[in-house]
Amino acid sequence: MNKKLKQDIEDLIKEFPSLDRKIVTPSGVFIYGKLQVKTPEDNIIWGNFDVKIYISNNYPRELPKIYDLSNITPKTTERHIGVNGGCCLAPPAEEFIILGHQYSLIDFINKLVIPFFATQILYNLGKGWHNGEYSHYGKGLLEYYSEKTSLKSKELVINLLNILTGKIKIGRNDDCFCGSNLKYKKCHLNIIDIFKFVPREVFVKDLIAINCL
Amino acid sequence: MRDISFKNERVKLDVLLANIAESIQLDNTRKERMESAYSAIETLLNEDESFFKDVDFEIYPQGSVKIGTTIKPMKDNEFDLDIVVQIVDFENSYDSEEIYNQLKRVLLSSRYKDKVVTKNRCIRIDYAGDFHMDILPGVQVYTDDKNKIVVPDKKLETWTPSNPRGYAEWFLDKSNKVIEPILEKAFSMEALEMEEFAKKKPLKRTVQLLKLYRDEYFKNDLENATSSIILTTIAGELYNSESSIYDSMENILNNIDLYINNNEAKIVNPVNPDENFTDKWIEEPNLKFHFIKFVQYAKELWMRLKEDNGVQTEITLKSLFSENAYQVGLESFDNFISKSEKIYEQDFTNLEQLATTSSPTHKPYMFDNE
Repeated sequence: MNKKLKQDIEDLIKEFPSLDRKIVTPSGVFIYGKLQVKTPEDNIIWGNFDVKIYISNNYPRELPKIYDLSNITPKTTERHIGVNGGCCLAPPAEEFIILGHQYSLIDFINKLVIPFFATQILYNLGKGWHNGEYSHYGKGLLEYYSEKTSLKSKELVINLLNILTGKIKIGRNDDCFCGSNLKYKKCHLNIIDIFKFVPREVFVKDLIAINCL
Repeated sequence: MRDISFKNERVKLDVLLANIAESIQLDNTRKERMESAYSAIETLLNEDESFFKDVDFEIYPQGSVKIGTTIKPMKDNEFDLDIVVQIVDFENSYDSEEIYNQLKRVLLSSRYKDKVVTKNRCIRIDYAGDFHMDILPGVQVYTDDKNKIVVPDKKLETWTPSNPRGYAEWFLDKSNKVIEPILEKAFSMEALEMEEFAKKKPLKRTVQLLKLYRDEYFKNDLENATSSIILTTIAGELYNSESSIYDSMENILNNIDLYINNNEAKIVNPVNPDENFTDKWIEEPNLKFHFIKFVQYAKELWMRLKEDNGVQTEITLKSLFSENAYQVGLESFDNFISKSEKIYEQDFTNLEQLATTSSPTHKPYMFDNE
């Protein structure tokens, strides 16, 4: 277990004492317990989720995974939850962007997990997807990148990912790959900046998924 | 069923059925008094200076209180708690009359002496106006199965085999085979705290409702009423893990004919096949005839509940369970439904705030390998 992982787990358990079981394995750590969705303004408890969190030894470069073991949500693709309770919080690149550089496990819970559970509860109450949703698998990733970078076609998104994985190099003064007639430094170079703290492996994986479409 | 919530008509029907059953069952205060009485008898036997001091015995409840299928008795009758006093006797040292008499001795020399009523197999203690406790003395004679007992039968002057604990285990096991009970699921999905009426599993509720229907149907014709043990056993035999009270009852009613025909019109104790609960049907064929009509009528009425029509539902349920039981159940039902609807009227702004993150492109999607 690396030092940051150890510290972050300690901090996490202190902040969320209901996450009360920890199992250390050679590949990573499992944490079990409960997470409550409560609105502090009115003290309403909207749900108490039984959860499992897996944090690999490659944390934080590899994202933690959260599993919803409760009965509150159906475990279906439609709900973005796998049969084993695995929650698809957002496209991985977006998870890194929301978490920010050098995130902690507490950040993971507060910035990603609790909002996800809150949207699930809102969905149960008939309010639809509060933040909207992407389609599943590669299609969803394509939608995500398109929306994030205003690139309208699959080919352009693939171009983007090739740049992000380092497969293609493009100079600051070259014409931007998106066909806008602007120089790269005045066009998509800035947009790509938002992905700067996302590990390269994420783009490699996403590229494979989108190529399969 | 796609959307399991308290807005769904089928779920609502089960809420109503559960509330009708809940309103006619043994209430908690009386149950607590029964538990005290039970402990007191246990203490009494443990303190006996002669017979019970020298034997290996245990006490346990049986019957509808044990399996959770109690209903309010009709008219002036009282609730009934059945218990067994089981003595281990592998050497056949005692005869049936003796065990019975020893129990009688202890009770008659206690403060219960004026409440004691002797019956054919058991001894009754009458807690007047509240409930009565039927104590069945039994002896375990088989070393391999501590559920198989023999009980004294005064009329026959002999022992008859019985297996009340085995029966209770059989029934509870069937009840626990339920798959995803819809009431429990609805509470989870709506993130509401589970209420009492939803805690009892569908098979138990079905048996309660069958008994309630039996009381209503035979109210002017008591001699022909089908016994509770027959109703309970058929329900248990035919139950097939249904998730709702409605489906469980529908399945049982639809399959009774087949079951009766396949079993030579006999309904035997599933844990003691030599015990035939329908032996009276041979001497009195009327009983079987009435039972068949009783089932037929229920089937017709139960089908009508499928039509989600408020007026029709009310008429049907009143015919089945009596106006009174329906009204009391309906009142609890209404209270609960309006409570559950209130959560939809709640202000969600704070929850929506919690759900919103820093990023407009934060949306759930589904990745492959999970």
